[in-house]
Amino acid sequence: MEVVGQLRVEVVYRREHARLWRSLLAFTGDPDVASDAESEAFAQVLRRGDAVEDVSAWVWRSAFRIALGLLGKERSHADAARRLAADARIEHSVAEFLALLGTLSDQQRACVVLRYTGGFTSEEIAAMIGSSAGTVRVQLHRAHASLRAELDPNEIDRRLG
Amino acid sequence: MTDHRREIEPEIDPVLAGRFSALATVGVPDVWADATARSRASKSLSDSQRSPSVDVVVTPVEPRGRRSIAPWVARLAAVAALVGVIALIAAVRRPITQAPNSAPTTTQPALTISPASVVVDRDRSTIEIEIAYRAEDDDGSVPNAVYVLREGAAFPEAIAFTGCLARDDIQTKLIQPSYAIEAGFAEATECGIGSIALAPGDRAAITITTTVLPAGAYRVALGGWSSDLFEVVAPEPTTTLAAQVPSPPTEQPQFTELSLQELPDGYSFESAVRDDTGDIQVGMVRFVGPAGQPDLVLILRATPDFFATPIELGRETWPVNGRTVVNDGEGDGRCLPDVCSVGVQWDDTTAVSVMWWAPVDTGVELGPEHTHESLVVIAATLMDVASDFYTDGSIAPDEA
Repeated sequence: MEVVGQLRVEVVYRREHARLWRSLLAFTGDPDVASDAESEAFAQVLRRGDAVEDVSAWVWRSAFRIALGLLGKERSHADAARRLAADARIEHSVAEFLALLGTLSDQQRACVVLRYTGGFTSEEIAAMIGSSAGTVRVQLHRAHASLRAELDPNEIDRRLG
Repeated sequence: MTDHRREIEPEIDPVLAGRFSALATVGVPDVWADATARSRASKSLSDSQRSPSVDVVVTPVEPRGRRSIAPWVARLAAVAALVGVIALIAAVRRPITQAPNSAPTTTQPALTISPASVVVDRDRSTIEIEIAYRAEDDDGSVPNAVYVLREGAAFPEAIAFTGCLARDDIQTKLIQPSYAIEAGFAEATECGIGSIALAPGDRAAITITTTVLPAGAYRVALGGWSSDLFEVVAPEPTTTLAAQVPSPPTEQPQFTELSLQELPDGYSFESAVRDDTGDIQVGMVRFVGPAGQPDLVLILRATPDFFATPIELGRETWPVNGRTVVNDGEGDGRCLPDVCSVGVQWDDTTAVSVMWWAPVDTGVELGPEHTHESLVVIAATLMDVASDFYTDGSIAPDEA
């Protein structure tokens, strides 16, 4: 793709990069995987040029799929939690929360991350992960229940008054 | 109309929202340069599929972080190495203090590239280099593509010129005593995936003629090997000789702050942001129009010669106030439903795109009146502004 063809993608990147990267971090629990996945997604859309009409939607969908592939099947949540705890870039409380997200299923984690960090509706998430809006809502409810059961009950009481 | 979606969406859990918002404390790395480099590697892969029996020279690539590179990424890197792309990145990033022709890998030939002279006149720069293959025993090869790289600029903007020693897929061509390169290309893949065989003692003189290069320090790179730095000075009517420069520029270039003298009816100023967080300084000035109309946006980059490529590709241009405005749209340059853009190199450090922009999430689409010609009229009103017009920040809204 020529330099001139990067313009539209670059605008999307500048607009959505931070939100996408943090969503990928929450999904993968690994800053390096988040960067790899985002970078590869933008590289692929750059290569496709104007064959992609909605650059933003394409990049979000692809980045999450690439991230899932990079995570691989042989993951250990215990290993991930240890790596996060040792990562100086991430505050302890954030690392703990990322490790907690890692205990969810891939689909639940994708739904809750796209909802909270991405700011997407269930319909938009469904289109992104190739599911139905109803399934996304079910996954969100399950993720809520699972995460709240593990979070500090005192914090929940305090925030809810 | 009632928003039924809101009624059936699971409610936002305040505790979870608080935990997710804490992610904002994690610094976000800029991956744009890496993405553009990867896109070039991907393009190289597709090109290589024309010739599956290619004898690939693998250049080791440093893994990112603690994760190993996936096999398919390594394959991309391997093929990219064939046309020198990854090696080119290494050349751009190589510190000046490093011996310029020290071997980056054991699979590369011991090639020296020596700048002999630079001649600058009003409409072109002519660079003469000499290459010599100094290996004692082993034969080697270099790809067809040769680059002129500007020191201190971010990749890929650092590529001031891409030329070809040959344009073919032949892997075993003999080296010629001299080469004259006068055509520049947007991509090294235009040179094909061929390479030139080198035997110990081989030499060649290469003359590269480009459009006028902005003043600055440059290298010539070939197959992952680069020359010493040489300096190109401002164009003068007489010959200027090359000179070694002691050190690369260290300060990040600043763009000239620009805005518009006149706005289309109904449009008003929204924001002007200067962003120093990336590889180059960028800026965005945003003007909003009436409901249902796209935004009018200026994107500024602190980089020289940014629009040389679309001009070389023969895109439509318009002379405006002594400068050249060019259609810098994608593909064949047509306006798309969400963006239409023209660009102009304002000065040596400032490239500005003027665009109609309809963000996808707004549902707005460009109309028939949102043409390149309408943007050219607007670009004619670009002007310098006071130094306090821009505010520091990120041009990504959620980081602002």
